[in-house]
Amino acid sequence: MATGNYFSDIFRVSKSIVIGLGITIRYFFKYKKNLVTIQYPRERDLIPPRHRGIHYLETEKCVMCWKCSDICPVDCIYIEGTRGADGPLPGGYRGQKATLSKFTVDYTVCIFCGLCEEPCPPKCIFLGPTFDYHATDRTLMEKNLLTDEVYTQDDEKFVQWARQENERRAAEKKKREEEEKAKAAAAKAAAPPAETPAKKKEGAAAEGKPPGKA
Amino acid sequence: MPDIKTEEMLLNMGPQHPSTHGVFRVVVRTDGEMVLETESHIGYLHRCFEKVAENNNYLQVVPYTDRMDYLCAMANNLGYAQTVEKLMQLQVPERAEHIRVIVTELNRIASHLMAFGTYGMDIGAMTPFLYAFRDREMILKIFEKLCGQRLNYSYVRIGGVTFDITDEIVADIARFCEYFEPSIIKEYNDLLSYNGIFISRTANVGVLPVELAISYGVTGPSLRGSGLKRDLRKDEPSSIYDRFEFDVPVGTGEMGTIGDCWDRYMVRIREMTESVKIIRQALDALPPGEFCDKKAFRGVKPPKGEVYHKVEGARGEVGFYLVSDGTNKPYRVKARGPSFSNISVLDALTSRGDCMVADMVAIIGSLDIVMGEVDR
Amino acid sequence: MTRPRNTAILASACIALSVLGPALWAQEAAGTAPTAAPGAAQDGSAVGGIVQSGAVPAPAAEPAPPTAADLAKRYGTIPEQGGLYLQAGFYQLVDALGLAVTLPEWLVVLVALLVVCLLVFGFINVFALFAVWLERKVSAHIQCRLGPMEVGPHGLLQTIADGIKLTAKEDIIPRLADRPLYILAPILVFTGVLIRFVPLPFGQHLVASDLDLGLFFVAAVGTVEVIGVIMAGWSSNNKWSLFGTIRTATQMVSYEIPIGFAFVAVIACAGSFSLQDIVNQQRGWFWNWYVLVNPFLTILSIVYLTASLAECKRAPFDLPEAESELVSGFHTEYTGMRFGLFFLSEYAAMYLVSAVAVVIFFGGWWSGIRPLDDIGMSPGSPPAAAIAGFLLKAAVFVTKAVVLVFVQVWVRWTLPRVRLDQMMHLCWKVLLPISLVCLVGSTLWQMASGGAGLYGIPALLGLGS
Repeated sequence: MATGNYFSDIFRVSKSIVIGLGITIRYFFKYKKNLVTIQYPRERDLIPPRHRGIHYLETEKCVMCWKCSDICPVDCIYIEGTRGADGPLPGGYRGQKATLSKFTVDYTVCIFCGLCEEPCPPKCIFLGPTFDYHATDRTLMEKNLLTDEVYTQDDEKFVQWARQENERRAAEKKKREEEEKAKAAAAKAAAPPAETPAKKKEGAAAEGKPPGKA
Repeated sequence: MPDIKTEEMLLNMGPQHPSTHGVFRVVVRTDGEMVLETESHIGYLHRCFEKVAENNNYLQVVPYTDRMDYLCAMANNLGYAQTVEKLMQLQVPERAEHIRVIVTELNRIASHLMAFGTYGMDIGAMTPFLYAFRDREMILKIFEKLCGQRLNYSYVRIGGVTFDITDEIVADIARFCEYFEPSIIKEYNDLLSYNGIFISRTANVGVLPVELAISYGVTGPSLRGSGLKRDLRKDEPSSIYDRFEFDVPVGTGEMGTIGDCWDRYMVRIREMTESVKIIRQALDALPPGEFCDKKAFRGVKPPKGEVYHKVEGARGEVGFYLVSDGTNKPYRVKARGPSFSNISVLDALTSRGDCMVADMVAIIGSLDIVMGEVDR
Repeated sequence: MTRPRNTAILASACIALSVLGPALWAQEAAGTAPTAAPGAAQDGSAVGGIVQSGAVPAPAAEPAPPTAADLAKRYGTIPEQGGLYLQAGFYQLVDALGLAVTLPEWLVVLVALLVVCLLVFGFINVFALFAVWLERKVSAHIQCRLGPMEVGPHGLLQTIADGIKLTAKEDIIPRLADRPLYILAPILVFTGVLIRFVPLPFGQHLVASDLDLGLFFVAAVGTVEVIGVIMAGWSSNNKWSLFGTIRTATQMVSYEIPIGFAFVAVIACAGSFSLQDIVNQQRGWFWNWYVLVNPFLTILSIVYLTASLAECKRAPFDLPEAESELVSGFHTEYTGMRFGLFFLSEYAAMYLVSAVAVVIFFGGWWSGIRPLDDIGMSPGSPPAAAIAGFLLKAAVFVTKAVVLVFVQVWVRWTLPRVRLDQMMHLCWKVLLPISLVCLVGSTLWQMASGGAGLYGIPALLGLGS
């Protein structure tokens, strides 16, 4: 090492070290002004309005178009229910043209991309400000957006019942329609009156009660 | 000294290690502290992005592109969106173009801050990391106001951007630029860049000659640190980069040899200044108007064909090769992550026989690798 | 064996070894050291105790059982000026209680030494608690954040919580590790640091045992720590630990040489190895401090502070425990209280080198303002003044040492780490020539100027000493 550089090297390194030390000691004495962190559980930051956190759903607007479920890149939204004017499913949640029996988001899968907000025609699903949704078990991370609570076993039982009930109603409806068709066909041959109102009242009385959610 | 018989050691800098950026395994054969040979193993973060993209439609692929280079997600989004727009010959509104440039440059600053902070930590200085994160926090807060997320934005989409930029956010960005440049960058230079110990750790270490860099396909600040002035924003400008005036900083061998770790690191620091210049110009020139092409928002069906488009991400050339068969799902999307090519040069850099174990850490840090991009 | 029991056994073994070790060592060293100023011992009032005159017994004749003065004369130095003296004070107490005749001599001496060593050990523990808190708070304030705030007011009890956590951890010994070495390593490291506290004063006469070879003892015995670190790295059966060990061996051994030269220069100025004497030479106004006496010693103090950073394995020389390269270096495989011992010994070493720097360069317990230093120092001063002076000197000493520890923490959180060959270059090619030149220069200056302070300027100005 050339002797000419020896002392200038030492001087240069020492000077840069002293400058660096000066910066940190300035920060040390002015730390109260420069504080960046907050004491989290006690103080919280302001959440801006566009923050993408846990979903919330305005149930009465939902038309069950499945658009949010389709656009989800990871398929974490599960929607079930009935459309149409067949009468409300007891225990189901009344939307604009549909009765929802299940609307859950699985937060072990959701990536909070926000794609589900846009295609919604009545604009009823939003990503809200909650970011610290937590649970002690993976099975408890599915949120039922109809009740704003965790999707529990009772919810699952209701959904199973709703499926069976819908199937049953659909089968009954099909049977009724076939009977009517047969009757209409038979009435075309003869001249009989229709007995629809009485039949309909019988059908309504035969509906069962949903489990647990009377 | 041929008389002393020394044994070689086979060390495993395993997937979990404080200084490999992400899950990255290097098997190092050393003779004491001198490294004889390294062998890199990647693939620990492979998430099948390209296969997933085949099964989702064009809009659904956008969140997946975020997660490749998660530190500079806007550039990935931008690359993908511009690729599809190129195939569709879609014109994006002016305001959207300006907003895209602003957010990409802001994200570049955030990514370089992260690189600067973690590089300081690798070399041993813990404090610049916290200072970098304090400034990065300001950028992330701006992004949270803008699009709702701090890291994986999915903000730049095909046809424009998702949300409009409000006056409050414009004021925030202007305030950030005022705060950041030049005083904070000067502070970083005083604290770390020109620190004698840092210079002796990084100068003349990991010298990457230009020919070696080109043959391995290295791009971005790692290539510019070797002296070659190649920046896609100037050479092949996409969108409106040709309207802005900015320099392309290049390594000059100021503290050691051209192409050493210090040069690569300094290119990043200087690029932050240039990005602030671009942001200021774009903010001044922000036109009113639409922020997206509404029809494209609802779903796109590009015509049949294939296209390759590249943008300058924070780490290099982010490229997307898109093959479309006319439906609303892409037939094939191949993503070129710049860190994949950058990391391939590591074995060549360390096997020359003048690298110590501590130098290897410095080299990996200076190449600025994000494993999400390497493995996709 | 259950984990807590293992830990308890290990901890008690460490305490026993570290207490008895220095006690026996100091006993050995003190017993062969000649006592100073025998003339003053005839005058009982000079043998300091809480009461200056009256209650002091006269020295007894030979066949009679030994009195406090005899014990103090035999087992420690006698101060020629006023002040309090711990060991002699203990003997005074024994004497006042009338136990000197009933108890055998060796028992009294052993108990005295044990008590003193336990006090030192207690101080180290409390200081380590404080130092960990100080480091976390200082680093946090430098980094624009707050540091621990939860446990205790402003996080003061955080270290206690950490200590409890460490004792509750699982005690893992790797299957292929060298068991005896693995278990012995933390003990050796801790003992090596603890032994060096024997001649270290905490205030005037507040010393475990004022060895005549104090400074030499501090420099020499500390090498046990190096052996402990090497054992730790080797026995872990981990290549990364081995890396840390090799780096440590070279580093700690190399940097002892500039430290040695700094010591020699100061010894040449002071004329004695004893730490008390070195400090007493710096009495008076602050320009008598050795750091300000001549420019060569100023440079040497910087050399000493740098080399002592390397001895403590602190940044920028923390290659042995380089966190981002070697995970944790030589103590990667250590968990629980074994790791706690390494941790504790690191902070104890920080205090030690800071205190030695204060003693040899920064005036020891003298505050540098003459009127303050003279409180309670004249032989006829009232006991309140003596106690006030005693406490003031102890406070000054500990404060100066804590300021130097703060400087160490400040430097750690600012500077990056040097590489191994750069560290070697710094030691052998920079610090060693500089310290050699400064040693020669300082002795020549002292001979020429006759020991005047602040480069001789106040003497020229007639400001007194």
